[in-house]
Amino acid sequence: MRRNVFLKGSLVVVLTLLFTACKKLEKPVSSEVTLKEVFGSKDKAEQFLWNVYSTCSIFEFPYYWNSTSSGYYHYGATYTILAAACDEADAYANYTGAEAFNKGNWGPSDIYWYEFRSEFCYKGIRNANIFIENIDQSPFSDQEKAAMKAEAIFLRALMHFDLMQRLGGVAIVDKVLKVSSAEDIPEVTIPRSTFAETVDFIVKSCDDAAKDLPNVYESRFRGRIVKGAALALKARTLLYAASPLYNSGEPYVPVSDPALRAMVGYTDGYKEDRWRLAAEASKAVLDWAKTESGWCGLYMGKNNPVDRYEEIFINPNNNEIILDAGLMGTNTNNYFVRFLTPGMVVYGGTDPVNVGITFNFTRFYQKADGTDQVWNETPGTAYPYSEYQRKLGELEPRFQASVFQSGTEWSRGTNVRYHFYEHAARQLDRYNGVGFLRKFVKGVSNNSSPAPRWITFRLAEFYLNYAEALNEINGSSSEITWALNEVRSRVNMPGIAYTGQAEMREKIRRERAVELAFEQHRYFDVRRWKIAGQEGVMKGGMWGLKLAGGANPTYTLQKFEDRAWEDKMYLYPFRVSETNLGYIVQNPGW
Amino acid sequence: MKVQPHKHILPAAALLLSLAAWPGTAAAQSAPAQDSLQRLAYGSQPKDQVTVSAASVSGAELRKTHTTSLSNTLIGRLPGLAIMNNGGEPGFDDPDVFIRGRHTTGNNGQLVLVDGIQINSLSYLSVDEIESVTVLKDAAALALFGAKAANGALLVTTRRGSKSKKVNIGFNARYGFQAPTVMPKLAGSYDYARLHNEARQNDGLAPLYTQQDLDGYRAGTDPYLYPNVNWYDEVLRKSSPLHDYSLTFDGGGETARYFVMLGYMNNQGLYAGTDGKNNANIQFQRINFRANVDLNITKSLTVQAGLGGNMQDRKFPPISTADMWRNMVTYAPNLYPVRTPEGKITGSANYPNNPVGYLLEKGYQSRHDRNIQSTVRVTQKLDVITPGLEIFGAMMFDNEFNGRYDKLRNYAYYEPIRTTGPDGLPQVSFLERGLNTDLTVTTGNDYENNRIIFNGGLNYNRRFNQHGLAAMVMFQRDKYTVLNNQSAFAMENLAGRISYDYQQKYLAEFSFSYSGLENYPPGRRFGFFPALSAGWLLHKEDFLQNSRTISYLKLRASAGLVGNDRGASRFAYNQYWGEQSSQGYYFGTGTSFSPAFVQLGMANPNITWEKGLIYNFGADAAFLQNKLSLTLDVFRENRYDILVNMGNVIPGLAGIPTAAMENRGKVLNYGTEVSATWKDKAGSVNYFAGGQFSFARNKVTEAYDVPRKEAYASRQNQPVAQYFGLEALGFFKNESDIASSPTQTFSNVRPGDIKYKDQNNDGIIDINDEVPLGRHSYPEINFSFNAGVEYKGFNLELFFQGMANRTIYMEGYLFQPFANGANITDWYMENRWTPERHAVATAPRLTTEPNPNNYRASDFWFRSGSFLRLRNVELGYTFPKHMLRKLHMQNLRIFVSGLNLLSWDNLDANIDPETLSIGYPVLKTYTTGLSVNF
Repeated sequence: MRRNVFLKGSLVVVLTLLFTACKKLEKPVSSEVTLKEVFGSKDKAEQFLWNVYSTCSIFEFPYYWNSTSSGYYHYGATYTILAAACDEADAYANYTGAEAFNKGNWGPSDIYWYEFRSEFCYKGIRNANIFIENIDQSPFSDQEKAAMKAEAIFLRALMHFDLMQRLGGVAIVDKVLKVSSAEDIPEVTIPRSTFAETVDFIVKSCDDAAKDLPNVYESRFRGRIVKGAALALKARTLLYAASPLYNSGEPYVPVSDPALRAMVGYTDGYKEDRWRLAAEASKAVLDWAKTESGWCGLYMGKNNPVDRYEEIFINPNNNEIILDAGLMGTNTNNYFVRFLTPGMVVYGGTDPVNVGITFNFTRFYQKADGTDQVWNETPGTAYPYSEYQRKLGELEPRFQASVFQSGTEWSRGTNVRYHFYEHAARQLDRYNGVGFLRKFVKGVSNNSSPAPRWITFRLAEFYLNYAEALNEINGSSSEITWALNEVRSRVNMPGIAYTGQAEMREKIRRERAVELAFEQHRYFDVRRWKIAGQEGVMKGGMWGLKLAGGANPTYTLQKFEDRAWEDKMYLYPFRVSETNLGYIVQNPGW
Repeated sequence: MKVQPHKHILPAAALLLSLAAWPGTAAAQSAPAQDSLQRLAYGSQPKDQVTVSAASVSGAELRKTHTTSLSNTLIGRLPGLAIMNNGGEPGFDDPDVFIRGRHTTGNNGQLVLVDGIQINSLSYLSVDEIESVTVLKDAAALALFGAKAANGALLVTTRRGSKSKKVNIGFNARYGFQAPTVMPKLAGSYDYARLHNEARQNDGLAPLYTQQDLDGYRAGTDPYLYPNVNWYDEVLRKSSPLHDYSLTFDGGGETARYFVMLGYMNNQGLYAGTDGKNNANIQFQRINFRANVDLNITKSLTVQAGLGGNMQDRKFPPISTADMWRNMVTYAPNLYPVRTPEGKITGSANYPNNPVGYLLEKGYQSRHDRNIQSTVRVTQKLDVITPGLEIFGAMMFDNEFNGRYDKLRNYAYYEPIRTTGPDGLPQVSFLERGLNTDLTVTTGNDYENNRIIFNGGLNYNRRFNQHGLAAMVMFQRDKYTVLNNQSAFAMENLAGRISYDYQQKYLAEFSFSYSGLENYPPGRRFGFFPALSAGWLLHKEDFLQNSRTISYLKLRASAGLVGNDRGASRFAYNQYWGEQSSQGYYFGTGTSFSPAFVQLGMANPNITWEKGLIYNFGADAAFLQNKLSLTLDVFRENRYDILVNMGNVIPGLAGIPTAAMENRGKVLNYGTEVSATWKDKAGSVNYFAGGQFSFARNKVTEAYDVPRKEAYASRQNQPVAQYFGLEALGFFKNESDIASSPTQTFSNVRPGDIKYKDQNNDGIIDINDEVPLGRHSYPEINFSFNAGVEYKGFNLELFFQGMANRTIYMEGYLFQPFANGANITDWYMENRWTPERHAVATAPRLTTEPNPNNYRASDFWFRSGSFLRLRNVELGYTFPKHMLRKLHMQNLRIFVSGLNLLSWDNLDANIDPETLSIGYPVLKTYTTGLSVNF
C-alpha cells in the first residue's frame, strides 16, 4: 500500500515535470532601459549629455592608460603628458609613451598605445550624434533643447579638431552610424575628407553652436560649454589652418597622390588671408570675454605673480578658464600623482615616472627683469651648486611657479626645502633636466580632492594667437605688442617693443612657449610651425643640469638623451587595423 | 635528468609507437568485455551495446601516477584527451585539457562532471576516491548534454562499496620528492659583466665595466663590491616534499553497502628559508572526504546517496609566481648582494623586488577553499506496470566557498651606491629606500558558488525475443549561482536515449536533448540536439564465429549535432543602456560628479550557441583469445556559428563601445584515435604492453579575422592559433649586408641581428611580411605506450607519453639577455653571434638595447615541440598472502615510482618542452609508497 502511494506520487512528479518543463526558463528581472526611455526622461537625457562630455571633453593627464572599450581613456603620452614627448620635458621612466616618441619607435601598428586612439574620438562623436539625433524627443523646452544640442555639436567639433591636429583631413561623421550587424559595414567605411573640408566642418559647427550657447551657467554647472568655447575652438582651428604646416604650397613630405595631398593641407598654396581669419577669430574670443561674457578675463588675483600664475592651474574657480575637462575622479588620482609628481615626495611607490623640465626649454625663460639668463656652462664641467640655485632662482615668476628645482620647496609656503642630492631615499635624485614639473600639481597629495583639471581653453592663449596671426599679416604693431604685453604684465614681466615681423615671430613663439608651457600646446605648435626637425626641438640632444652632493655640491651640464625625428611625423599615421580595412588613405611616409 | 636528444627522436618515437601499437595496450581501454559497464551521459550501458565513442580509465590505473591534481594523472591515459602541463606550482598546477584538439576559435573547454555534478576543476579530487574517469567524444555520446558539451565531456565516477562479509580497510601512503626537470643555467657576474660589455660594444656604446670591475668579479673576493648572486640558489631549495595518505572503508550486505574515504595531501614548494608565519613557501594542503552509500529499501526501491567534501588551503608569497620566477632570471647576478653586511635586504630603485626580500620580508597570502557536494538518487522499479520499467529521481548539490587571509608588509631596502673612495679605489655604501611597516592582515571572501540539480525520469529495458529495447528519458534542471553575480546560470534539459538491438548483433540508438539556456534571446533559448548511432557485432556472425584470430569485433558509426555555449557573455542579446558610475563628468569647482548614462556593448539580438556536426566511425576488436584488444575511432566535425568579434571588421569610425559577437565563424576538425593492448603470460610471468595514438587537425574555414594587407597573412584556412611570424634568413654579416638588404623597420639593425625575408617584395620588412610558420602551441598528435611485467609478486611498469606536431616559440626573458638587465643563459652565451662566429652562431648578437627586430615571432625562435617522456615508472612488490595472514592483512604492497624522469626532445636550449620553464617549472617526482588492506 505504502509502496503504491510512493509509486504514484513519484510518477506524478516526474510526468508533471516532463510536461511542464521547458517553459520557465527566463532571464531574471532587471532594470533595462531602451533608447526611447533614455530620451523620454529629462534626467536620463541629461545624463546622456554627460556621457557626451565624458567621451569628448577629455582629461589629458595620464590617469588611466589601460584603455578598454568601456570608454575611459586618456590622451597625453601613455603614463605621462605630451610635453615629455616635446622639447619641454622628459619622463624619467623608460616605459612611457613619450619615450617611444623621443626614440622614434612608433608607427601605425602601435600609435594607439603610445598616445592617441582615433577610435576613441569616434566614440565621443557617436555619443554626440546619438544625442543630437534624439534630444528633440525629450521633454525639455525648445530653448533648452537647442542649447544642449549646441553643446553636443561643439563637443563633436572638438573631437574632429583633435583628430585633425594629429591626422590632417579625417572622415567627418555627422550622423549615428548603424552597425547592428556585419552587413552594415559598407555604410561605416566613410573616406577621409580633405583638410579644407575638415577645417570648414569644425568652423561651421562652432558657428552653429555659438548661436545657441549661453555665456554663463549657474555655478554648479561651471565647466559646461559656453559660447566663448565655440569661439575659442574656431580661433584655434583657424590658427592651425593658417600655419605653415598646412598653409603652404609644399607639403611637409613629398606626396604624389593629389587626393592625399588635399588631405594633409591646403592645395591652393600659401594664402595670407587665412591668417587674417585666424586673427579675427582670436579677437572675437577676446571681445566676447571683455564685452559679452560678463566674467571672463586674464586672472589677476593674488599679490605675488608666482602665486597668481600658479593659481590658474590649481584652482578651477578662476575667471580665465573658458573650458576645462572635469573627467577625473578621486579614485584615479593615484595615477597622475604617481606619474607626474617628483620621486616619493607625494607618491609612496617605488617607480618614479615623473616629468623633468629640460635645460633646452629652461633657456626660454627670461630673468624676472626681462633680460636673458647667462648660460655659459661647458658640458661635463662641474660648477658650484650655489650657481645653479642662483641662476634658476633669478628666472621669471612663471618658471618659479612651474618648476620644482633643487633647493626649493615642493609645496611653496611650507618652508620645507629639498636639496635633491640629499634625498635619494625619496628618489629625488632620479629625473632628467633641471628639476621637476610643479605646474598643475602643486599641493596635490595621494587621493587629494579635488583633483586638478586639464585646461582645454584659457583666455591667455587667444592673446597669443591674436598676436601671432596679426604679426603674420603685418597687422598693427601696437595691437601685436598690446596682446603680448597683456600676458606678460599679468606676471609683472616688462613689456616687449615691436622690432619687425621676423623678430616678432620669434618673440611671440618664445612667449607662447613660456606662457602655455606643458599645456600640450608646444607639441603641436612645433609641428604647425614646421620647426620640429630643428636640432634641439624634436630632434637631437636634450640637456639637463646634473647635481652631485658631498662636501661641495656641484652641478654639471649634461646631455641625457638624443631624440629622433623624421618629417613624416608631422602628421600621425592611421592605425594599421584601420588602413587594412581598406577605406582609409594612409598619411604620407607611413 | 634530461637526456639531450639525438636529432631524430620523432622517427624513433614513431617506430617505438608502432611497435607498441601492434601488440600493444593502454590499460585505459580495457578489452570490451561483455559484462562490464561503460559510463555514459546520464547513465551507463553494457559495453557490448555501446555505439558511441567513449573511453574510460580506472582509478587504479590513475593511482600509479603520483601528482597532486587528478587532471595530471590523466596525461596519456585516455585516447583523444590532450593535456598540456602548466608547471608544478603547488595548488595551481591545473593543466590545460583538450578533447580531440581544438574545435573552435572560441572557448575549447569541456564539460566535467563528478557523479553528475558539473564542476570547474578536477584539482580538488583525490585520486583515491575515483572509480573511473570517462571521456565522451562523439555526438552520440554528447548529444544528451545539449549546448554544453560539443567540446567533449569528462565523467568522473567515485568509488562505491560492494558486498562483502567484512569491513575492508585500505590504507595508502605515498611520499615523494619533487625537483625541476630542467633549470636554465645562468651566467655568473664575471660572464655577465664581460658579455654586457660585448653587448654594449655591439650597440656602439662604451663598455660599462672596467677591467678592474671584471677582475673584481672574476676574483669574487668582495661580495659587496663585486656581488655574484645566483638567484635560483638563493631562493630555491633542491627539492620539495609531496606526501599523501588515504584511509578507505568499504563493505556491506544485501540492504546497504558503503564506501568511505578520508584523504590528506600536502605539497610544499621549492622556496627555501620560509617560516610560514612571517612569510610562506608556496604550498598546498588538501583534505578529502567521501562517503557513498547504496541502500536497498525494498526489493524494488534503491537509494544511492553520496557526500563528498574537501578543504584546500593554499599559501604563497605575495608576488605572482610568474614575477618571482622572472625576477630570478631578470635580476642580474651583480645587481646587488642578497643582503648588506648588516644582514639587511638589498634592493634598488629600478629593481626593488629583491627575490629573497620579497619572499622573506613581504608577508604572505593564503586562500582557503571549502567544497561540499552531495547526491541522492532514488530508483523505483515499476515492473508492476510493465516489466523493465523504472522511475528515478535525483537531487544534487554542490557548494564552493573561497576565502582569503593575507598578511602583508613593506620593508626598507638598501641600495648599494658605488663611489670612489679617498684612496681612489671603488667602495660601496648602502642607501636606505622605502619604509618598514608592520604586517597587516586582510581577509575576505573571494568567491562562493552553488549548484543545485534536480532530475527525474524513466528507464525501460526489455527483451522481446530477438528484439532488445532500452530507453531512458529524463528531465533535468541545473541552477548555478555565483556570489555577486546578478543572475544564476540555469539550464533545463529534456534528454533521452533509445537503443534497439536485433539478436544482440545489430545495434541502433537515437539520443537527443531538447534543452534551454536562459542566456539566449526569448524564442531562441531552446534547441534540439539529435544524434544517431549504430553498431554491428561482427564476431557473432557465422563467418567469424569460429575464427581463431578474431575473438571480438564491433563496428560502430554515429552522427549528430551538439552545441557549445561557452564564451558568450551574459544576455548579449539585450542592448543595454545604463548609468555608468565610472563614466561621468565633474561640473562646478568641487568634486560633485555627474554620472553618465551610456550605451553599453552592442547587442546581438540573434545570438546563439556554437554548433558542431560530428561524424564518428569506430571499431572495437579483440584477437587471439582476447590477448590483443584494439579500438579505433575516426572523426570529423564541422563546427559553425562560432562567435567572432565584429570589432575585427568594423571600422573605428563606428565609434561603438564594444562590437557585438556574431555567430559567423567556422572550424573543421578531424582526426583519429587508436589504442591497443596486449596481455599474456609466459610461465609465471604476466606481462602486458599497450599504446595509444591520437591525432586531431583543424582548420578555420571562416575566420572573421582583422583584415590583413597580404593574403598569406590571413588566418583563414589555418589551424586555430597557428603561429605567424617572419621568415629568418640568418644574421646580417656586416654593414654592407644590411645596406644591400630590404629595410627592416622594427629597429635599427646591426651586424648579428636577424635578417628576414621580404615576402611581399616591397623592399621593407614589416609585420606585413609575417607568414604562417611552424604550427601552434598545442599538439596535433598525442601518444603514449606502456608495458609491464609481473613475476612472483614483483611488478615493473613503464609508461611513456609524448606529443608531436606542435611548435614551441622561444620567447621572453630567457631568450632576451640584458633586456631590462636580465641575465644570460648558457644557451645564449654559447651560441651568440660575434663577427668571428658568424658561420656557426645560432643566437643573435648580444645587445643592451630593446631589440624589437630580433625579439619577435619568427621561425628563428620556433622549434618543434615534439617530445617523448618517460612519464611514469613503477616498481612494486606485493607480499605473499601467507606471510600476511598472521598480520591480519589481506594485501600489502610497497613500491617506488618516478614521474617525468627522462625526456627526449628536439630543443637545443635547456628548457622543458612542456612549459618552456617560464614560471614554475615542470617537476619530476620520486615516490615511495605503501598500500595495505585489512
